[in-house]
Amino acid sequence: MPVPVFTTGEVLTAANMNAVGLWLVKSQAVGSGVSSVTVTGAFSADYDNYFISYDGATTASGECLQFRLGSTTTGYYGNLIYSNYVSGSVLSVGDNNLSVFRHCSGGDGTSTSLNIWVNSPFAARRTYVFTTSYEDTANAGNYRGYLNDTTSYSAFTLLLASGTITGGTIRVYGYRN
Amino acid sequence: MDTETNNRPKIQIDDEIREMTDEEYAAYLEMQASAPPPLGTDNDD
Repeated sequence: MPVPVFTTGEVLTAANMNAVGLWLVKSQAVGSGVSSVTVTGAFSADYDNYFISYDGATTASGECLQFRLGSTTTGYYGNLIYSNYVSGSVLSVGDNNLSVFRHCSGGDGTSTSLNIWVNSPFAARRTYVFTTSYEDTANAGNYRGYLNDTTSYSAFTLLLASGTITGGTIRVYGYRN
Repeated sequence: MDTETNNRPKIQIDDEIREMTDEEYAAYLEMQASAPPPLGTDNDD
C-alpha cells in the first residue's frame, strides 16, 4: 500500500505508521507581552532531528527572535545570508561565539513567524540549526549555525533582545529516526 | 498563572509567565547593551 495515500476505513498497520516521518512533540501557546518563551521537554532520545515552527504572533518591536539551547550562553556560531528586496544585493553578517543564535525570525514591528530545523540537540554532539525565516522591512535571508559544545539539550528558548511578543503557537516536530 | 513583583519584563516557561529574577534581568540588560546594530540594507529605496 502506498503511503500516504489511504482509503476510507483502511486499517493502518505498524508499517504504515512507522513510515510517518514527522511527529508533533509539543505545542506551546505563547502568552501576552513576554520577552522570552522557554519550551521544556522538546528534545529527547526519541528523535535525532527536529523542526520548530512559530506563527500567529504579534510583536511590539522590529526585533527578530533569537534561539537558545538550554541555559547555555556561549559558543553560538553562525552566518546570516540575506538580500535587499529592491536591489537584490547579497549581504551577510557573522555570529562569532555569541550567547544565542540570532536572526531566527522575521520582525517588521507587527508580526513574526519562525521556522528552525535543529540537528542533534539531545545527542551528546554539536547541535546545528538552519532557518529560512529571517526577514525585516528591507531584507530577507537564511541563517545557518552551530553550538560548539557536546551538551545534551531537552529545552530551548525563543527570546528577543528587546521588546515583547504576544500570542501564537510554538510547535515542535520530531523527524522519525 | 502570572506573578507580578515589579515592572521588569516577563518571561514564559511552558505555561508559567512571571517577571524576571534579579539574575535574569541583569543578563537581559547585558544582552541589550551588547546588541548589534540593525542589518545594513545596501539600498534604502
